[in-house]
Amino acid sequence: MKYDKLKIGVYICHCGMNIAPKVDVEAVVEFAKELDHVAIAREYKFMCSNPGQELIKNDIKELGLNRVVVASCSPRMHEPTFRKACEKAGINPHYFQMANIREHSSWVTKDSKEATAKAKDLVAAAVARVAYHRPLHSREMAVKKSILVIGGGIAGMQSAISAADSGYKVYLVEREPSIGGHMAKFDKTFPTLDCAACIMTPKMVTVGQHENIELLTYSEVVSLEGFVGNFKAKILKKPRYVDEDKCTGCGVCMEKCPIKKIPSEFNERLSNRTAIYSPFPQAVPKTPVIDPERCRVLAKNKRCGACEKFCDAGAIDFEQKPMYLDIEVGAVIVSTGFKTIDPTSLVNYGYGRYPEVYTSLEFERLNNATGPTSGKILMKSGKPPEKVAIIHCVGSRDVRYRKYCSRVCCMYSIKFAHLVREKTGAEVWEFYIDIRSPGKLYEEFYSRVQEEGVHFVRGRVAEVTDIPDNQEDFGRLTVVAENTLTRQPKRIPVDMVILSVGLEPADGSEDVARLVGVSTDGDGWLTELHAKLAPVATPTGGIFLAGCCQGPKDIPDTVAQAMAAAGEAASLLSKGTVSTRTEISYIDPDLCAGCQTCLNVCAYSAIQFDAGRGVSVVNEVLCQGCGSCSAACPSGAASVKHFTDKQVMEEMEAILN
Amino acid sequence: MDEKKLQNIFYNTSYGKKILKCIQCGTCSASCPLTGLMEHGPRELFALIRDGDMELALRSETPWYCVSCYQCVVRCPQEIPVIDLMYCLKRMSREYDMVPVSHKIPDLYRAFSQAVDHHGRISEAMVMANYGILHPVDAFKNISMALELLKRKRLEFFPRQIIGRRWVAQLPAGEKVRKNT
Amino acid sequence: MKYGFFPGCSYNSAAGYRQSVDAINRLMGIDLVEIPDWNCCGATAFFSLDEFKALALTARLFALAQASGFREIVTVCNACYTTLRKANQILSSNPETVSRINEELSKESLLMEGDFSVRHYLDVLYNDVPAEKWSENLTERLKDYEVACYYGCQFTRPWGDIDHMEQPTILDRFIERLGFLPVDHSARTICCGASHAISYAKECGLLISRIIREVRAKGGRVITTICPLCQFNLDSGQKGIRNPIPVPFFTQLAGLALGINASELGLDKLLVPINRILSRKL
Repeated sequence: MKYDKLKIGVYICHCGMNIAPKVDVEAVVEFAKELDHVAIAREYKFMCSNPGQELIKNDIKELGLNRVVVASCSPRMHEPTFRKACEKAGINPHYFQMANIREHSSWVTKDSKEATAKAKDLVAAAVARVAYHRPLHSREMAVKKSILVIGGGIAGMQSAISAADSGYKVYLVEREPSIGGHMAKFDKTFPTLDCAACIMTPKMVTVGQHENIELLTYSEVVSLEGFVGNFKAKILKKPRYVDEDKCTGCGVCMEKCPIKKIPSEFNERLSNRTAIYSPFPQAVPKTPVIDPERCRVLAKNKRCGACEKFCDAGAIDFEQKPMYLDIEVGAVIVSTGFKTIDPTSLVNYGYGRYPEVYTSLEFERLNNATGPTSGKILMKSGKPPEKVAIIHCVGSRDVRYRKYCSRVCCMYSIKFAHLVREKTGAEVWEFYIDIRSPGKLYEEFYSRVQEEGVHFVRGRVAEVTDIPDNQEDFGRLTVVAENTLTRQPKRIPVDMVILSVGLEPADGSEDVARLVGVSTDGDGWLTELHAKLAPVATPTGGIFLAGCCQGPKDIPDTVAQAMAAAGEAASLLSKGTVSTRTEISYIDPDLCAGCQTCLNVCAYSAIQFDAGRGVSVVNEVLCQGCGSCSAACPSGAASVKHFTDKQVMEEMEAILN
Repeated sequence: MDEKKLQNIFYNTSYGKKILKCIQCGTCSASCPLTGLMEHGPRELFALIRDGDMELALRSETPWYCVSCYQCVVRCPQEIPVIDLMYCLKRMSREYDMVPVSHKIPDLYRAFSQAVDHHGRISEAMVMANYGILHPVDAFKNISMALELLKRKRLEFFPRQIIGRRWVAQLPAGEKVRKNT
Repeated sequence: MKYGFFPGCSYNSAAGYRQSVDAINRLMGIDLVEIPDWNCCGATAFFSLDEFKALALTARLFALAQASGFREIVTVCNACYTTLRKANQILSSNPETVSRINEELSKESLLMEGDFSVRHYLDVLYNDVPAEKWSENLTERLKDYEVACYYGCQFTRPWGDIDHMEQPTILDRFIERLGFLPVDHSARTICCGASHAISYAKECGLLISRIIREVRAKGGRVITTICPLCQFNLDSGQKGIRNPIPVPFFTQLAGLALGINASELGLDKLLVPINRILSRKL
């Protein structure tokens, strides 16, 4: 299968100071020149630069090269660059092979000699492999002009609005009964203290009414197939038991429901809701849902039907069943958000043991007009606190829980201190390790709250205990910390403790990640394509990230990323077409025995059985080139183009020799 | 010995380099039951060592106040084995002759180890007697307690001697096995 | 049930600890075989002064246990428990140190090899003696009596395997099994000052009184402990306090629940008398 006259060009990149001083580039060039079929070997400071690419193009034209090897960095970044250069010079882009002598050699090898030896091996392998490369061609496919957004918090809502405004159809899927996410629970937002509801509800209404947005609440994405530009998603609509078309949102059903003592998830279990409920007054859609586990009719098969009796619209429907919806979209934006760390296992902070220890989300609800205390900061006793402690870094910056900084806690804690001072006049003791306020107007806000008389103590709290130092403080809580700036151990008696818990990925976000084919990092956050230069895209084409599912961030950053994700998705769709994959499976009909083993292992349903010919056939549009069929095929008929046995074996042999 | 050298010796003990992870949050110093008596607390000791102020760190009384209750260890957000580092500092200060003379615990520990060296075991009274020579006030305060114990037949002066006491006494002292802890 | 037993130096003089452990062993059929010629474990003092000696002392204990055919060693003192466990941990990952110590041990014709399991007697009573065996033998004498459990430092820390490091409940569960009413309080594992109470009596006194105040505030009528040093500090540290709270060992409470006579349990050796409780009739 080799060309009659193979002419391989080999280019060794210095990558500035990244490869060259460690790897003896000249020695590698000399080595490469001696390899079979190598017509020319060169070195250059930056192969990815324009002059670097010109070097390749000129050699192809002038020396008649028909294969190209570049030894430089990881193919993740620059394989497309060099393939394009080859194509422009007139050879098939797949007549190119990259050897990674940076990540696989210079960066990870201490000894210069060893690094050079390894670089030589990798170059030899690439040269051996490229000889067996075959030309591959992709096709242009039309894209679906619609976008799926998964998760309806502020990130998902903003992505949906921005994408819908640019004229694309958007499906916004939210698993809860209403959109709004965490931001809907907040009272004020830092650093400008605008009311979260005031700035957010207009967006919720826009989402609900937008002609281009199909809002699917109380729904979950159960499967996603296809590829960039052509995804097929299956959405599960859980039964609300209330007809969305008939319901007027009057709320009588909730008043009449006799089951009233269910802890409200929205109010962080600080108040109760009914079995038929709408999570909060501004919910979108207004249509309530019936909790099937608590409703007397649905859970216990008892007679009740109070909601049904009093509903003038006749919207209650106990017979509703789960529904599945199949949609086709060109792009997907994942915005599954976060959850707060459960501080129960940090027993030294007493959460769950002492009633006056609150999480930050609980405290948000205490501050909110629609919360359990109608926005008054009150203890369980009904009295306002006289002294409040706020503890930073609960679960964050702690290798036993979450090693990272959760980014938002410092600022929301400072906001809490301000709210406590403003609403109750109580003394506030704020315990921090470092104040992190890198945002527009953030440091100014910190400074302002300092001036409001809040005690900022630099020291992580060791313990919250109900053992007082003085008898008169019996019944209060004592916060134990070291003021590290004065080296004074502090034992501060307080009435209320707020734990500034960190952020972690939302429950189920790993499932969504698997569904859309995006990997997660060690902490469970979804991984972007490139930390700096592609923070919104993912390695899977057509899948974009918005908001906290990618890592902790505040509202301004979330909104910015949401708009960016919408922009990325829109620019993909506006082009109108995408190229199909070239590195896909091929089943040789002459070898195929028709056993259909491959059909069972294919995760993308990309193989059909042609009963007429008695062979399996690959659907080139659906195939992702994962190689499962090729590994499973007992007769060796299935192979993945560009990863044929011959190509891989030649590569390995060159390394081992 | 110069401080740079001492710092290197410290870093080369098994857990020495762990202090490089310290974020100076003060959880250790706040968790310590005797923090009120310490001029530095473990957090400041780590800062001193990192700054190369080894004299201050090794002459500090802080490690000698450590009762090994492990409260700091289990709460440290960086999983620094504070107690093992305190042991290490105490041993180093002995080796380089920097044990703080003002502190009573070195004497108590010496009284303890003397009893072990002589008998293979200790009795509280024996330790108190060894220690009381150096700190008669502390011993005197305990006399009435001793009488109470005597009344309840709880005071034995000499511990039961064991056969292995000679083996214990002949153990080589001060052998450096610092890579262990 | 047969175990190698390391009593530790404080066991004999501890208020009735030995009597009560012996009494329970007889009734429950537990055989604690004392390691012959055992030496002091070295406690925190030796780790502070001389690590080689600290490891050698514990290694001798392991070697003696091994020679008697035990790889499981039961202790009755928190300090012994953690010292032995700690040494075992260090030794099992430092073969060179072990061989150096074995050179020394060979002078006594001893040899230490491999890993040892170190357990606290409470662990044995709670986990090895079946729950039914306790309920079969219980008398109703002190049912529902409010008991505060004090675990001290070195039982759960730094291990965290036998129970939670800051809020353990195993002792609470044990005395509940015996019919007592465990009192929920926040001083379970806060430090009593240990041996520092000798040299820094005033400061450690504050620690002790904090524990006593907390127990009293939460309605505890006795404090039970699992360590001779904890017991001594809490018992002796209440001098001059009005209505001091008795501090029996957990084994003494267990003995009472099983109907064993107070005199057999050495309860007369406590500094804070426990008579008031014993006179309570039910």
